[in-house]
Amino acid sequence: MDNMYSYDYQFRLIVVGDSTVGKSSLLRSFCDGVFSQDPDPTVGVDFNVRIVEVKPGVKVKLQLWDTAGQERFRSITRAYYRNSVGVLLIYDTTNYVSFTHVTSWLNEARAQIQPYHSVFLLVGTKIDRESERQVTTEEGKAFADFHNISFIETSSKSSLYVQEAFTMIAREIYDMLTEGRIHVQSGWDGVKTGPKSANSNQSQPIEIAQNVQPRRNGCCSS
Amino acid sequence: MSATVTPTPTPTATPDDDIERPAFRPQRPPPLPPSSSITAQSEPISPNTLYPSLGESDFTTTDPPNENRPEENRPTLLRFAFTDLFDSFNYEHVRNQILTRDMKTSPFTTVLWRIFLHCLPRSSSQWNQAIEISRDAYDELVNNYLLDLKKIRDHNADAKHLNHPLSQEENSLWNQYYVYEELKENIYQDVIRTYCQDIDFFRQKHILDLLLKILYIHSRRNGESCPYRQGMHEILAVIVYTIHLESQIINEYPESNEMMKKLYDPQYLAHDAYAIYEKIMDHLQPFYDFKTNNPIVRKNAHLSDNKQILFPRSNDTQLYWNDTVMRVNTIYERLKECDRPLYEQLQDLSIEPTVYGIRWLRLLFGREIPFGSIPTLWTVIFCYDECFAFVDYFFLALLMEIGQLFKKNDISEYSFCLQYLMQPNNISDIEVVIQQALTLEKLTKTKEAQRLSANLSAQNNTGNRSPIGGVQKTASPIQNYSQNPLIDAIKPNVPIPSFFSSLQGGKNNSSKTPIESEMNDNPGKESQILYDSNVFIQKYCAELMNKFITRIKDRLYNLPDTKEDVIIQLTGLEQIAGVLEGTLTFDDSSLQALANYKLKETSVPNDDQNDAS
Repeated sequence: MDNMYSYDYQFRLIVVGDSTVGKSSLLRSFCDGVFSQDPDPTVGVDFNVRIVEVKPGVKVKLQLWDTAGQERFRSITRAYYRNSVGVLLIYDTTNYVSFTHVTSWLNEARAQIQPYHSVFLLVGTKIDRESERQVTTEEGKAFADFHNISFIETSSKSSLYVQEAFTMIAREIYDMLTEGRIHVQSGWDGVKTGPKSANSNQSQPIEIAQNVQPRRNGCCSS
Repeated sequence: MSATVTPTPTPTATPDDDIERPAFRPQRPPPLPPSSSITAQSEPISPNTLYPSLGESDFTTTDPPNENRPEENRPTLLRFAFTDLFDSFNYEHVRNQILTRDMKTSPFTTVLWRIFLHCLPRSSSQWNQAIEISRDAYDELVNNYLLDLKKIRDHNADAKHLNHPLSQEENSLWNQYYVYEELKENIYQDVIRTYCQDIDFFRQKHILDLLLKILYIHSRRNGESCPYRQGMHEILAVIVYTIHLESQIINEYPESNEMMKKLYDPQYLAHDAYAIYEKIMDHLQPFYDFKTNNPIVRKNAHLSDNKQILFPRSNDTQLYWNDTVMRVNTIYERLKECDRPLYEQLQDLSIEPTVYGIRWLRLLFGREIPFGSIPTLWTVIFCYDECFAFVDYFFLALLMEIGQLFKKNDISEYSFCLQYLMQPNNISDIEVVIQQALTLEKLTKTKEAQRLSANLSAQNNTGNRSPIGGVQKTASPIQNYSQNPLIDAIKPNVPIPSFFSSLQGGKNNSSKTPIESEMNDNPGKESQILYDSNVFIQKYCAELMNKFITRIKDRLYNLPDTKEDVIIQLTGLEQIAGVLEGTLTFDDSSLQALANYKLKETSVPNDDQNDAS
C-alpha cells in the first residue's frame, strides 16, 4: 500500500479496442492478478492503478483508464484520450474483425491526442486459445511495424506477457521522457512527477519543462 | 453460426431454441443469494424457494397450482396481502409507506413497479384489459421486428430479384436480415456475460434468448432515440429476474386468485418484462445518449485556455446537449450544500463526477449495491415521482457514504479515492443510504420552501416584477394543466386534492396568493401540502415538457438540415423545464440570451450565451 505513495512518475494510459477483446481482463490480470471468464462489460469507463519499475530504482505509477468497447468515437471516451500519454490498442487474436478495427482505433486516438505526444502499443489477447486463432503473430507484427509502434501478444487467462506488455509501454514512455521527446506539462495529465522524495536525487536525469507548448507535429512515435 | 433462424413470433413461451448461439459456459461460482428483496414481509421464504432449479416447464406451462403441496401454512397471507394492497389501491398511502420505509419489500414488487411506471392503471378493475392490451402490443412488436427466414421466403415469390440472399439493396429483406443479425450479435455478447450470470437463472439458454429478444425488439423499435447500449441488458436482467422470482412464488402458492395468476403468468414473462423495461428506458434513455456533436460545446472547449476541460460543468456552458453529463454535474454541484468538505476534497482532486456517475445512472446503481437490494431501491425510485428525481438524492447519499469510507480508511489520494468511487458493491446496507437520501430530500425541500418564500416576500416588498417572476409565472398555467383532460387521462388521481380545493377557494387568483397567505397566516401542515403539490405539478409539467422537447428534437436531428435557431428555442424550453424541475438554477441572463437570439446572428449565437453565463 505505502508503495502506492512512492513513485517517480505517473503515466496515464488508456486502453481501447472492440467490445469483448479483453481490455478489462488484461487490466485485471495486470492489476489484481485475477482472471474471470466473462467479466461484466465496462459501462462508461473504469479505472485501475499499478506501479511498475521501468529501470532499477525508477518507479512509475500507471494510471489505467479502461473504456467501453462499444463507445468507439464517442464523446465520453474521447475526453480520456487527451490526457493520456500512452494508448494500448487491443484486439482479440481469435477474432479477425477486432483486428481489422484496430486501424480506426489508432486513427481515432491519434486524432484526439494531438498535439500531445504519445506512445502506442498494439496488444493481441487470448493467445491461450491457440486453436481458435484467426490473426497470426506475423500479421500483428506487420501492422505494428507499418505504423511504427510496438507489439506484443498476451493471455490474461494464463498471465502470459501481461506484465511485459505494461512494462514495455511504460519503458518506452520513460525513454521518450529522458530523451526530452515528452515533457511534463501543466494542464496535461499524461505524465506527472511523483511525490517520491527518497530516490529523487539519484533518479532525476530529466529536466522538467514546465509550460512547454506541445509540438504540433509528430503526435505519435513515428 | 451466423445462418440462424429467428424464432416465430408467437406468444408461446417456447424457448427460442432456433437462435443458435455458442454454448454458454458457466464459469463463476454461484453468488450470495439476493436475500433481502423479494420476500414477503409476513412470511419468510426459504432460500430454496428463491433458488429453485428451474426447469423448462416453468416457462411453458401454466399448471394449476398443486393443491397437495405441503406448504399451506404460509399462504392465506399472501392472497390477503394481494387483495389488501390492490383491491382498492391507495397510491398515496403506499407511496407514503415506502418513503417512510414502513414498507421495504413486497411480494408484489413488480406489480407495484407496473403501477408506478404506468404499465398498469391504479384501479385493479381495469387490469384485465390493460394486461391484455400490453401483451398484445408486445406480440405485435415481435411480429413486426423479428424477421425470420420464413417471412423472407414468403416474400421471395413476389420480389425475386430484390430478395435474394446476396442482395445489397437496402430494402432487401435478406440485406436487412444480415444487418439485424449483427445487432443481435452485439446484444448477445453482453447478454451472455451480464453480471447477473452469477445467478444460475442467467445460465439458461432460453432466458438469455428472452433477454436478447426483448433488447433486440426494443432497440429496433427505438433505434433512433434509444438504440441498444451496453448496460441496458443489466436493467432488463433485474426486471426479468425479479418478475421470475415473484412469479414462482405466486404460481406455487395454492391459493393465488385469478388476477395474481394472470399478472404472473410465466408464459408472458417476456411481454411483461418488456413493458416495464420500456418505461424505465424512457427515463434512462438520456443517460445512454452519446451525442455531444454540439458545435457550441466544441466552441467553448476551444475557447478555454490550454487546460482542456474534460467534462464541462453545467456552468461552463448552458447549451449542452448531452443529458448524461449535464445531469451528473448538476447533481454533483448539489453536493456543495450536502457535504461541503467532501465536495471540496473531490474538487481539489479534480475527480470528475462523470467518471463514476455515468455508470451509476446508466445502471440505476445496479453495480453499486448488492444485487439483491436493487429491487428495493428501484421501488423507491419509481414510487417517488414521475421523473426519477429520487435518483439525484440517492446519488448524493451514495457519494456521501463513500466519502465516509474515505474518512474511515484515511484516503485522500486521487487514485485511491477514484478506486473507491468506482469499486462495485461498495455499499452493503442499502437502507442506510436510502434513509440518508430521504433525509437529503427533506432538507432540500425545506430549503426550497425557504428560498421561495424569501423570494416572494422580496418581490412583494418592491412590488416589482423582477425576473424571478419568470419562475412564478409558470405557476399559473398549472390550473390549466391539471384540468386538462389529456393530462388527467395520462395520469389519473394526481395527488393534489388540497391544492385543488385551495385553488378554487381562491377563485383562481394569481398563484402567489395562497403561498403568500400560507407564509403569513397559516404556516401549518396545509401549506406544506400545498407547497408539495406545487412542486409536484411543476416537476410533472417539466417532465412532460422534456418529453415533448425530446420528441421534437429527435425528429429534428433526423431531418436533413436542422435549423439551428429552432434548436436554440428548444434549448430555451429545456432550460425552463430544468428550472421547473429543480435541476437547474434559475439564470435569467441565460434565458434572456436565448430569448433575444436573432436569426441573423446564426453564426455566433453562442457568444451571447457565453457572455451571459
